[in-house]
Amino acid sequence: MQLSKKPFYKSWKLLSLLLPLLSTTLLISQVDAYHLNGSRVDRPNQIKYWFDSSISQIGYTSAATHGSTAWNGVPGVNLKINATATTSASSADVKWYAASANNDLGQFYAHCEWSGGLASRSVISINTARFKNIDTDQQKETTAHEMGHALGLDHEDDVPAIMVSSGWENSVYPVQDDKDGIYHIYID
Amino acid sequence: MKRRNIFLAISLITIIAISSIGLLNNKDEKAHDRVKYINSSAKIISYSDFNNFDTTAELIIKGAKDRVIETILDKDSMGDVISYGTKSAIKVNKVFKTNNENITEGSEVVIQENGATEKTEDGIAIYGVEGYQMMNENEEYLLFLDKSLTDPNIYFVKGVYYGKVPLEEPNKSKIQNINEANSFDLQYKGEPTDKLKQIFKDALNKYGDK
Repeated sequence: MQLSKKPFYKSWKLLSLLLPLLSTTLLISQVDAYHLNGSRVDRPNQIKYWFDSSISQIGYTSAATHGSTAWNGVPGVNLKINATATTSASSADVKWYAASANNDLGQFYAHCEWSGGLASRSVISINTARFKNIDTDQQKETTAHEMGHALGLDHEDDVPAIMVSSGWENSVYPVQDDKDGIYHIYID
Repeated sequence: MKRRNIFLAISLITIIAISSIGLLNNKDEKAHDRVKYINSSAKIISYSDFNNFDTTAELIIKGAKDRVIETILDKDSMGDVISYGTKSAIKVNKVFKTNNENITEGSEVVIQENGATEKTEDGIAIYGVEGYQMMNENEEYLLFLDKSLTDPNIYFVKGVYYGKVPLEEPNKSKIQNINEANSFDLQYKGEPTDKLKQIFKDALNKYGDK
């Protein structure tokens, strides 16, 4: 019996069988990753946030500014999150609104809607009727939490995180688990 | 040589097919049969357990959705949604708790649901805060409600979605085994927390067969 003279690694049949298996494995590991909402901002080191006039009219400029910038300096791979204000709504990655105090939206303090995808735009709405009933630190934790959604994070209820779905972490800045999520999303 | 090319071609097609499936499988924005689900994430008001939930509810009823009164979709000048909701008329079948003597069996209450539907060029967009799904008309629910802080004639479901317990079968039986897979059937599109599971079960145990 004549043995094959081809080296094992040069077997095209073997390679062509292994390639689909490898790609499937990689894809599964990406799809079932961290607590992510499936979106990310286009340029995480050049994020632009914009405030509707309702934010200043109702008096939430400080809270919204804190939320927008609370993640600045959090590292991804080879980059750091950096968000600055813009006066152009059309160029903003994150837009902030505050509902009228006479318009209760429901049993939540604020919510974030995002367009999804790899260059997601988000709209964060503050439910003023409820938001005004929590203290300053809780307001800041809420706005930082919503910005976390805009950056691509989903809720985390198993370990300490400001991305907790309800209740309070008692931190106005992201904690380690939150930062780990950012690092995972923003691999430059 | 020919056989090698065939194997390579099959491999390449397989990789492309798998990648396409992965790109389409976005759990937060699915388009299926021209229906697009759009969830927004929210910092919701929480309740420690069912007892806390139950004792703080202003209104506890069994009721069925009769009709949609008004769809609220607030958009900015760029067409981005700022907020949404749907005012729905609920026919009261049974009252367990109320502080309003006008709410009795057979009366009607208005609930502002944290969801909305919108007809678009591509089909239908369905909005939901934290996975909230609109009640189905003529189906009965166990409802834990609080008044709106700004309109005493409007009620909200407690905890956005916690206070809306489906009573129609097979959902009523599924609550005993609620998990991520079947939570979509239970009028909630998301990952159920242990707290949600327990509140649903406790709610049914206390009010389900009455």
